[in-house]
Amino acid sequence: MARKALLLCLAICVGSASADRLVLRDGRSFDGVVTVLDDAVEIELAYGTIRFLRDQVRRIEFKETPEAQLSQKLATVPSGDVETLFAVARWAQEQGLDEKAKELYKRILKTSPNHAATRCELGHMKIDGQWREFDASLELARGKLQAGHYQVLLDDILPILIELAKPRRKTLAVTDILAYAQLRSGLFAQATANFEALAAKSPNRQAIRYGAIVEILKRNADGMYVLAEPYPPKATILSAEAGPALRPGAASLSRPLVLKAALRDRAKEQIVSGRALLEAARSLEASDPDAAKAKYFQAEKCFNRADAMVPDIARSYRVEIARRRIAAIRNETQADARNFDASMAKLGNQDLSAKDYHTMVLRMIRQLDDVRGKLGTIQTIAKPFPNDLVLEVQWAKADLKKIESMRQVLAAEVEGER
Amino acid sequence: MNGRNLAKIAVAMAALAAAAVAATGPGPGDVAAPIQAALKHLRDGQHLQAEQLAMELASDADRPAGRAWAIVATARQRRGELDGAIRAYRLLLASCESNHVRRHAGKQIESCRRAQGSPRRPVPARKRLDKKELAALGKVYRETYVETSDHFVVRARNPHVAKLVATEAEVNLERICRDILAGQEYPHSVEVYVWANSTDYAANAEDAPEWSGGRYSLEKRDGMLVRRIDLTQCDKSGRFAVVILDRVLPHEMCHLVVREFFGDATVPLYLNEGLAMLAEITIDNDRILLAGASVNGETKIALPNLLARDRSDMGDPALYYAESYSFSSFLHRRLSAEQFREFLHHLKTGCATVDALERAVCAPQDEAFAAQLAAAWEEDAAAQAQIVRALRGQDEAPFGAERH
Repeated sequence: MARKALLLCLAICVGSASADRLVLRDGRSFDGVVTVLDDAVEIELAYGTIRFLRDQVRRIEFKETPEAQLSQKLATVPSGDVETLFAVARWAQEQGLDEKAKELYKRILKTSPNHAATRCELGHMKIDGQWREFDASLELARGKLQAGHYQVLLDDILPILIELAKPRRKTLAVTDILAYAQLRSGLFAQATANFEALAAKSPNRQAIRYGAIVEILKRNADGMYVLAEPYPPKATILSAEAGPALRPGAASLSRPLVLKAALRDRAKEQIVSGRALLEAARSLEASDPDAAKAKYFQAEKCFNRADAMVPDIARSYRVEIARRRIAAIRNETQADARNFDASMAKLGNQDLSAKDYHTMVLRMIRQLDDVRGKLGTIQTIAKPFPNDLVLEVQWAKADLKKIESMRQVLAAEVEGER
Repeated sequence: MNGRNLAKIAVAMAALAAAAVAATGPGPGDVAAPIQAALKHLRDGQHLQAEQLAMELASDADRPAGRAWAIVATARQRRGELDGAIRAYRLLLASCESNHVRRHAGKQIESCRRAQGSPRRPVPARKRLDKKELAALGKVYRETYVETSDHFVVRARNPHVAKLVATEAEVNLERICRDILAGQEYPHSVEVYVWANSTDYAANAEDAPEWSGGRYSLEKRDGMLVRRIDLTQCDKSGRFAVVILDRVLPHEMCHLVVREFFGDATVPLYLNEGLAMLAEITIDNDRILLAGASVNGETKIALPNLLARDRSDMGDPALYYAESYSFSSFLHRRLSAEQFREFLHHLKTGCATVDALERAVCAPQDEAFAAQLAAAWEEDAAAQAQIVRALRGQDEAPFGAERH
């Protein structure tokens, strides 16, 4: 039965490979999608479309649409023949008839709920005696990881889940669970390899975190980490009796909290580097603003890396940098404002020719545009920290409003001259 | 899932595992399992078993696992075998390539040594000085005597007072820099004037409030920064005011050192006063009781207000001082010396107290932290007051500068 179904499937596949055939009077023939126009015939080929005059065409051999072929195939499937129906469903899927294929798979499951191949095609997985869709299986796997059911994850669930993940582009999500399950089971070398793969393929922030885990595991290949400080860090302040969950000393990286503590240590290293750059930037602010800006940028990179390892651990430093950058821009805008005022005074006091007056007004509009651009930059810098930089944002808004009204007056002046 | 798929998965998994093992080499894998077993004992509080297993690994004649000394040291330290812990940390230092681990070992050796030493709580002068000495210290002569030490030039109208104040000043400075300000340096010279009595003090100590028995100042004169402390030798009854040694001198000195550390930056008032009170040798238990009572009552100055207030709006001064002492003492006990130093540094750079604390302990910012901190402090204030009530009547103050 299975062999018959396979043969039928192969026959279907071979048939489906061909397309419309256009045969010309000169003997040449082309396979593609044919469209008949008023006085010509077009054929769409893999490498482009060619048009021939009707006179050149000897004959056209139209093939049936996949939908029509599917209907024909379904008509031949014997009632209750699940394997043949499955082969037809797979053919439909290969033809891009995904919805039709899904309907057929569901039809199969109505009669054979445990048809493993169909479940597999649908991304279903049997966990704890129950078939689940892929996303539900993934969530359940996460739950089992949190619950500490590592063995069942590694032996039964993840090997299947990782295969199901490939066509769904969710390999990273499953590899993440796999790597943590291996780490918590003490399979440090395997976990390191998987975290390395995750670091190579994940987006930037996650890649930084995975990269840090890889470094931690490589530096401590025996799975032992030496905690220099209690963890969580706020525990000693907030609770004298309970104390921290982890005391300083040797501990296993297979414990989730130990890995967190190790990541926090790595983040702290980045913060230390960032702070040194921040100090350097502060000292350069007055004498060399450009060099200070560059240092702030470098410091921000360190703090971003720290935040990627432990969310928000360096947030207050990033707020500080934003505040300092805004202060620097405000200093520049104050200088711009003084220049503008000087131009304004000239405009009022000097006897200017009409041409010079016009030039002066245009220059002032440009000055306002410059300031407007800088205030826009302030708003962009402050945007990620709306609750921390409230005043900065309010000032920028108020200044923008003022500038807008001044600009309107100047623009009207230019218009009036015309 | 059909058989073909399962076979493919099995092959893929095996290849993955093989590649991973090949990438990291077989070395650490050999010791990983016994190391993990020892760590499990350590985690479960089975320190002797952990130590034994780790010792075997560390002392293996063919392939000694030097990192296992970390487990030996931790196990010994946790069961109070501090000499043994120090030895194990030394062996760890000698065999470990990681900077992080070496730093930890160094710190733990220091910590074990500190724990071995007896608590160095200073004995108050009122307990050290006998009647004869006190009588001698209460005499006021016409001449001004000058006594100098490493950091102090003391002027008093009694040679014994000048000498004693110079000695006490050095001892207090060292203690304040080491214990209160977590290793702060103080490479400066301070002039100390001990005025005969309150009238003399009021006449000579500029801007000093009438009620105060001492003051500090930091002023620029002719381009020079002059550091000065003014004290009063005798109380109203004409006896030597021993309180200047036990409370006033360390209090004012702490202000001076803190002010110097902060430079042009603003020192939060609660901390300035709190640390100065913490520096006093005799602890005022009434402050602890007042703070403990206030946090449970309606008079409480809530933490956000305590942190924000300045001299102009401190409300009830006694309560403000009591709570300032209580909160500063709470922070000082709960933070490590390194964290406390960091906390001061971040305050100096302009951080608010809560932000400075989060930075000092290197923890992620959390909006709930301010409320959690307030709750933890109030709980601590109440607990400290409860202990004082229980010990009331005992001579010795119950609280040292011990840290967690």
